[in-house]
Amino acid sequence: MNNRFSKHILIVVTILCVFLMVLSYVQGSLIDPVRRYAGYLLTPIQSGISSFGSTVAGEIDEKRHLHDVYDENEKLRQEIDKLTEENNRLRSETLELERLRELYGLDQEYMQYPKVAARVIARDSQKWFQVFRLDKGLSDGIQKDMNVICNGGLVGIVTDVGANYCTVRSIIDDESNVYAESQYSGDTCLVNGSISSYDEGRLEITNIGMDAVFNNGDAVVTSNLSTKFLPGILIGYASDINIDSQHLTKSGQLIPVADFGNIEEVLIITTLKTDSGLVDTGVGENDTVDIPEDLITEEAGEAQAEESGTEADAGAEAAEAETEASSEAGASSDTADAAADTQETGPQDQSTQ
Amino acid sequence: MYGFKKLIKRIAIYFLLVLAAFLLQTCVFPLLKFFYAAPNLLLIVTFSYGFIYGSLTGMICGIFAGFLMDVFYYEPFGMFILIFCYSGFFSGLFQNQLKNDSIVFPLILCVLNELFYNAAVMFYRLFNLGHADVAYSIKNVVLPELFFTLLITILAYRILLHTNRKLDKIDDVRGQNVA
Repeated sequence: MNNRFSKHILIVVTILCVFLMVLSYVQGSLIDPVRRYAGYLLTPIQSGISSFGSTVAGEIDEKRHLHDVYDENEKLRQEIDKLTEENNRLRSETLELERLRELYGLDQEYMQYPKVAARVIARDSQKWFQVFRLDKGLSDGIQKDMNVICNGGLVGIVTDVGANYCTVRSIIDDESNVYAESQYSGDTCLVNGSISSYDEGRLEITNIGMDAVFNNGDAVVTSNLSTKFLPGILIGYASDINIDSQHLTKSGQLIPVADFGNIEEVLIITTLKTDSGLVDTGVGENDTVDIPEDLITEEAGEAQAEESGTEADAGAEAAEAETEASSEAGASSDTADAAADTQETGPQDQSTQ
Repeated sequence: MYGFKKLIKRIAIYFLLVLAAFLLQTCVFPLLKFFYAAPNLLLIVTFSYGFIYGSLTGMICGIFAGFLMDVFYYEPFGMFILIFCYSGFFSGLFQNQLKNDSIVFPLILCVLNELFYNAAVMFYRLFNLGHADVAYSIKNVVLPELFFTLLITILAYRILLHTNRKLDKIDDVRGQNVA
């Protein structure tokens, strides 16, 4: 009796599930409310557990790695010195770049997208799907298809948003395909995730044109061709680029910048690719126009002030020379007056700047 | 009336247990770096309950577990419910093998369920992605997961069995009191 009853239920469940699967496969957004309401219940619990868990795990790790940390600290100090020096150099170059950009009329300022920080609260530890959940959602302005970065490199894309959570499919997932390009040559390629290459900490690069310039070690960034990923986000560095067996394309591997094994905090870029055109020009204009203008006026002001200063000095000297000459030779005082005029106008000019 | 109350209470317990397993699997296991592959705790709960209490209970647990997985992932909704539900149902067919505290049969069930679960997921991926590196996946995903799931089954099955016997006893005593 019980067994027969179970069989009936099984048949009902099967039909219902198949129906739901087809429905959500055809029109995924129909099921979203269910996911959202479940998210209301689950997110606070997951958030709590994972913050407690990561505190405990963090403390255990802390003790274990204390020794390594000393060595690393030493190395990092040296690195900081090096980077400070480099940073100073780069800062001056950035200013130059901005001026040149303005000259070129380039609006797009890559990597100046507004971002929101989020914490990973759940992640399935099984390997089939590389998906994780963050503690930011609609209430924080997160929307579907927003890009997620970590350690300065692309991590994934938001696939599902609830009020207080969002789900991110990372680019190492088998289902992930990202249009990318070499930062140097601009030649495009596809970056795919796959289980086999992920185990080696890599992604796959495919569809590189035969005559494309793509070298090992080239920085690979997201391409403008992509419909969902913003352009110019660093993904990683190319390696093992080889010609495919059909001799039509090249492919290789990509060493990602983000450490996928250890993602805890990430940044969500709140600019969507679909409206990035509007937002970008706004950001770009503000940045490129404001700063150089200030610089230019300041510099010009200083230059003029210096000039007028030297004029005034020269005027004063001339006046002195003239008065000496006039007292000695009894010449007219007109020239002396003229010199005194310049002496007056000099400082006036300076103050107006 | 008492039976209905008991049923609701039971279902609530199943749900909380499955929820706990889900939270362990998604929030705690990723933090434990020594797990090369994570054990499938939801599957353990589902087939253990199916085995101990029969198909119906197994299916209820399976529906809860599958629902949580479906909510978590952005795959076609219902896929995991289906997989877990079948897992619970088939495990329940072997309820008559539950004679003593022997761990052998649960371990056999664990292997069968793990293979079924992974085959189903692999089949879905083959359908969805058009490709699947079957040999590689078996070696690097299925087998490690199977190993750790077996390991956890030895521990978790005993715990589940004993807690439930205690719950049954409490229910029995209360039932007699009411009667």
